[in-house]
Amino acid sequence: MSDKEIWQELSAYLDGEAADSEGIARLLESHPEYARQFDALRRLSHQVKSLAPPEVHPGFLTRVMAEVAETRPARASWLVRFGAPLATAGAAVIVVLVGAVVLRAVFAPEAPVELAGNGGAVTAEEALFEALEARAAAGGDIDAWAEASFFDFDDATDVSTEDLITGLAAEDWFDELVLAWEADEDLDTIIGALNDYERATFNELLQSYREEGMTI
Amino acid sequence: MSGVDDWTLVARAQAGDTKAFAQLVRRYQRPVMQFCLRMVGSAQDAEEIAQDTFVRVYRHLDRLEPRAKFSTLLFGIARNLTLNFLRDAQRRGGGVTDPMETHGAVGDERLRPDRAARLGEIEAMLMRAMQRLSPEHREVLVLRELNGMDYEGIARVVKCRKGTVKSRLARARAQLQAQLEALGGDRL
Repeated sequence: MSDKEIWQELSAYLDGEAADSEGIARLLESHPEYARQFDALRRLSHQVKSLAPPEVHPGFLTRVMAEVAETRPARASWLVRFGAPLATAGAAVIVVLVGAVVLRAVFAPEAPVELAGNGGAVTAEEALFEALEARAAAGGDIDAWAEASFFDFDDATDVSTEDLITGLAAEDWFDELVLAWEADEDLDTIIGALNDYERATFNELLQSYREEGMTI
Repeated sequence: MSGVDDWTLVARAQAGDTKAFAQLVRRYQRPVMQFCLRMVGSAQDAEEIAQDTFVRVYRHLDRLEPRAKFSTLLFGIARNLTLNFLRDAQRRGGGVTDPMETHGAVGDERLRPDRAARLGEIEAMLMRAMQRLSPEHREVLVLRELNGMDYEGIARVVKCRKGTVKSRLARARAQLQAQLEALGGDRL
């Protein structure tokens, strides 16, 4: 094993998670250098654990419950959930499109923008599934997460479907869908909760983002 | 109600019992605050994120089902919110609050002043060193050392494989050790 691998095994051993704890115990007995490294790891762990637990403000619970009292726990309609971002994106698109028509007619899309990437049109179901998957995948990889999160429509001259979905997955409001996904609610259930109008709304939202990215 | 398990409290809250939800908040407010504080470095920001975490849970109560540990779901939300916060802070060009301003032990009046100051110094140095870790390394370190999660639980929260948790944690500890040495903390 390399030094790096040994350090990793010592770290896991400290946490009671080593694959071969007996082997590590023997290694520590026979190699003083590794025993010193393990002691250093143990001291470090102790120091971190000794960080004082934070004081919770006495009014914390009251504030949470006050906000909760104003929150409807029941499932909000998709229209309500999509309303704000859709309105924002829609307003931006309208402003941009009007400006584009006035300044340069070429900026105005001649036909409705399709959610089409290299692989062809994307349905709401496919987009939702891919976005949920992308978000879940990015969750384990901060670099990918950061890359997705820093996706900036302002700088975009064109947006691939993949970028669109990744960008969508980085939106705060998308957390609500991710939450359902993470709670092991299956995709069919999530999709099944959409009525025709809500599916159209979801598609419209995706289109709005794409248009915004293409024209700004 | 203190002996009631989490999912029973969730079920009661789903039925409209706000006291049951308050009990969940009481049970987890400190660990969630702990996680948020060590991630973002500022007590005020951490409290806002923690508050938002609980409100989001409440908002989606009807969807929650006992398929995993409640704490995994709770910390998963807190983690998403802290990462969003850090991302936004970086976007704005600002950093997180200097941990020297936020360490907690200094104000403990039960300690002698010199002892409290010493503990405060150690804590601030540790916090400063931890803030220099990347979020992906800091989160596994905090979840393991301060929230006491096992590798399986951490993997569920950060959505990666258990082996990745193991390697990230080892790297986080190596980096933390190096940062402490650079800050002079190896003499603590």
